[in-house]
Amino acid sequence: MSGTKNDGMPGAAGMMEPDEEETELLTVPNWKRTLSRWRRSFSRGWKLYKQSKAGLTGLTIMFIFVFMAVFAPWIAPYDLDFLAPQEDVFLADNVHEVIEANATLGLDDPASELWYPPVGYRGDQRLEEVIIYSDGGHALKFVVDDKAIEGGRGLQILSNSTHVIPQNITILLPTTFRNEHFTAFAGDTMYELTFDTFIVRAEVSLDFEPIWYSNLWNRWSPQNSEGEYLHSFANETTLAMCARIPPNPAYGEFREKRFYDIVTMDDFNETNGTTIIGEPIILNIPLVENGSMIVVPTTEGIAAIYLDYNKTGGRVRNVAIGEMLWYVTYEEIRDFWDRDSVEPIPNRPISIAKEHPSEPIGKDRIILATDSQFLYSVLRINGTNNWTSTLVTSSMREPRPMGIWPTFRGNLVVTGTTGELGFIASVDPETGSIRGNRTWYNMTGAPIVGRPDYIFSSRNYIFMTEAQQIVILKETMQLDATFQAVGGGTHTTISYVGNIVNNVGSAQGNYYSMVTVDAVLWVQSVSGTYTAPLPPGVYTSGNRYILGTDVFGGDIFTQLLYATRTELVVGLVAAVISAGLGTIVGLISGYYGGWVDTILMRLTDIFLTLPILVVALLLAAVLGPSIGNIILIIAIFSWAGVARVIRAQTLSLKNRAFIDAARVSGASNRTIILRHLGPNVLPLTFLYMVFTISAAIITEAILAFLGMGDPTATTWGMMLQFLQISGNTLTAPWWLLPPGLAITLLSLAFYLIGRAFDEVVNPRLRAR
Amino acid sequence: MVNWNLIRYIVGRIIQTFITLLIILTVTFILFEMLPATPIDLLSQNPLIKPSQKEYMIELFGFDRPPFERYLIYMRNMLTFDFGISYTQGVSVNDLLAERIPRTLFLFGMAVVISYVVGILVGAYIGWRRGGIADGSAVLTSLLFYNMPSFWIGLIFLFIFSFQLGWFPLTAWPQVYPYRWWEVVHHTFLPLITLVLLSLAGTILLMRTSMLETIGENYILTAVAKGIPERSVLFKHAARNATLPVATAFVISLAFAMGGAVVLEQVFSFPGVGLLYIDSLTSLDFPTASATLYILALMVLIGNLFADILYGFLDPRIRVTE
Repeated sequence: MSGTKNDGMPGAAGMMEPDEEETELLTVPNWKRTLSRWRRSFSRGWKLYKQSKAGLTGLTIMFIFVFMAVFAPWIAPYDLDFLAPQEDVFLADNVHEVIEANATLGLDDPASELWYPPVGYRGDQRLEEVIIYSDGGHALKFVVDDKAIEGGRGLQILSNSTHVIPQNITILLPTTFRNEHFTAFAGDTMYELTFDTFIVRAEVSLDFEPIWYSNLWNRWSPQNSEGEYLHSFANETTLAMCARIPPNPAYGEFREKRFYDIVTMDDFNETNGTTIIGEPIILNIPLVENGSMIVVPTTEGIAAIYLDYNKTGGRVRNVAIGEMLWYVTYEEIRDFWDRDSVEPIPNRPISIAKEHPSEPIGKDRIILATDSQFLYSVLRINGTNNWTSTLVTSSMREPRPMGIWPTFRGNLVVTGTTGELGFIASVDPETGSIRGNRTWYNMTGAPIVGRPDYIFSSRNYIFMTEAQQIVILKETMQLDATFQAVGGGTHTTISYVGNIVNNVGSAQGNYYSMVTVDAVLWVQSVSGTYTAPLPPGVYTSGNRYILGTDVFGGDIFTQLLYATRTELVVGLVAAVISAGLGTIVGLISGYYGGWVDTILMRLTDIFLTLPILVVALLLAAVLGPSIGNIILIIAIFSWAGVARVIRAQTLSLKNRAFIDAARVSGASNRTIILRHLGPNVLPLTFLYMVFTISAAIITEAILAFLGMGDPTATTWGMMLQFLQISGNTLTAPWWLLPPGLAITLLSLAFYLIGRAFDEVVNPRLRAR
Repeated sequence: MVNWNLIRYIVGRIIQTFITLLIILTVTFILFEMLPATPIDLLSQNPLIKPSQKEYMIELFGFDRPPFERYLIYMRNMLTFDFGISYTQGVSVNDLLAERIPRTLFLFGMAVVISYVVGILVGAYIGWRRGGIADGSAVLTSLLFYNMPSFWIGLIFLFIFSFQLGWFPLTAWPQVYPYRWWEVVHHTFLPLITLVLLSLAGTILLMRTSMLETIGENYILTAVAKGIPERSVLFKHAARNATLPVATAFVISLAFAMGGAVVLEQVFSFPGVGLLYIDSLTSLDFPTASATLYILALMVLIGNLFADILYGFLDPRIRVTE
């Protein structure tokens, strides 16, 4: 750690002989004279310095790095934010050619219609069909086949068909467990469309235009074990419910029954005057008395409304929205936890812990994400508070939860933003804290948009970011793969529609993405294996990655070059601050002596005795991750060694004749320190500054590696931290070696310069 | 006869160590006060912590009291080794620490002792044989190791010896209880050797420099001129005197080795105090983090105290004057 290295050099005793000119006390500063004196002592020093081979080696290495830092944009083969193109990082078994939809599908002007993200139809085993639709009344359905390609891997869009759907549709939801039909909304009309041919099976005119729909993550609609489904939708004031009861031949019923019910928030005493601010969620536990309810987030609180099942025998006579089961206001939550504020985040304020259709047990809590960075959990059954969580970890500053997604593995996935980055964290629904402390979360380059997806077979989560990137994470939130949307374009919608074959695992599996672009309708299928991090070499695109790529497809060599800049800045600034601080403390302590000396030197002793790294980690955790803080931390913990040496030097200087002379001639203490002692300890200050640069570079790397680094900065330490997070430490030596070597070399360079310089300053070290 | 000088020296050192400890604890307390979440926030978010434990913690640390009172309570708790309950795990911090302290002490202590003894011997030898091949290669190796980030060399060793060659297990502690000593050695060998190499480099470089200064002294020349065997001059006359500056720097090497131990515990997932410290820091688990920090600092300070006392016995100047 910084500072610790300084005392490796017993240079304290040695010193520069004070120049004779120093005795001319009353001269006004003469810049010409000073300059020429400096030049002389520099050339004298250089004559001695260049005798040291190690010193010259150090200088050479340093200049190479400085060159790299200065000319990084010209040397680097790519930009800093470059990511390897799809064709390099994605080993495609089959990239199906783009279909120009206007020609083949008879659409005159696809750009005039708003195309929604594709929807995949997944059968039991594999992806079978992909549907894209627009508000212009068009739905395109593609049959996909994974057997069409030789060897059974890869995917081909076999045939497509165009269907007419109701105009102005805003959402098309595959609403049952097996995608039996779609629920679609167009204005204030709700449609039920058959899955295969989009024929309208039912059409209901609502009295209002819904904004929020209760359909949940992974396109599972609330459906219970009896085969019925419940669906809820709302706008600001009105809440509606739709229940579909399947035919029950045991009672002579051969037609399914649908029930609709509409209420407004003003119908209930508790919520009178409040408005709805997010998706209503249906919790359907039909086997439990009072089990079915709609949970509605409003401006003032969360309302849980009972669903009234009117059953006689086994037959459902009616389903309607019943009474208010419980209502908990944000104020109550705030008072309960003694918080300043609990403002719910609109659109996605609540979620439930588990929602697998076949898993009624465990739907026991409702979790609320708020604007004030907190997550709250209330019990489903009565709305009482269960826990509150801040999601704090030391490396994620001010995480703002934006979405909560229940998973099938019993944990919650929380997405949100932390600064400019997005984050994804796996949260334990029992406690509300991030699972496994530091490992179960990850950060993405841009905030997450849309609903995340989950692949059962390979246990992967799939997210889309604002930067049109698909991010695939392992269940432990470690990065598995990312890929950029193909096509591009301003109105690109991108969607992951699933594994082609459900039982193929993780990065070796097949992914399928589909893109629609504004001018021409593109439909592209990609399947294959994600291969990043790439070993060094030339790839399909013709790009050469001299040192390979990282897991995102970023060029290691480019990052290495740009990181040199940060490293040099961190090293230099930290060293200047700490050497300056150390020199001031040393001068004051040495010159004044007495109690000032005692106190300052005890303090110095403490800093030298401290397991500095251990305390620095705490400081980093408290201050939060940023480059400025890291510089500050390094400076704070490395001045002590410098102070010690400067003090010793000051002590031996202060009894010299020229200091006495200065004092006699009436120079103030300040003048003596600044004008007479200062210049004489400057060579030592500079020497220890060089050693501190060396230590600072290593310290930065260690802090970064331990998760206290600045995630937005490119440094060698952060490169290694990303390597560690991505879990490729033992499999990507081309990623592991260069940053570490660079740290070693640059640190070594400054250390060698320091040693050679020490021999100049301290004649006793020179070879005799 | 009682040597009052020595006793005064030792008592002085003990008092100084204690004051250092108090200052470290105070700084730690202030830093923990600055954490982005208050203890009550963190305490209330985990249902694993039972209400009775919650009350116990509030009473123990006085979370509901003003800061200065809290500070006094904190100092009392730390000095009496009463650390309370971990926020994240809901179990007593003392229990968490009990089995980890010996492990870290083993890793850290062994590394310090081995690197010190070997470092002094190697440093003395290459200093004596200045300019030879042994000198050149030893200095180069030391320079490299001295400037390597500890975690990186740990990862490289893990990659080569555990992953590629398969000589050592990937985990740094045996999984099955009871631990057999050879299993422990097998598992901990890699982190230990990494830490030794890292600490060794500094000692070798320092000893070599100190040796170079010593052999320039006239009494060495006299000894050689008297015809005393080279080995004897090397170890009895030169090395013994050259060790003094190295011994003074022991303080720094202890702190350095502790930093290395914390980092390497992380790299090798060695279940020691350092790993617990970093984990508790990232999750802002205040009681665990402050307790582990305290224990780590204590290890270094007590190591220092021992070294100082030993130094008092060895250095005649302290026995006679001071």
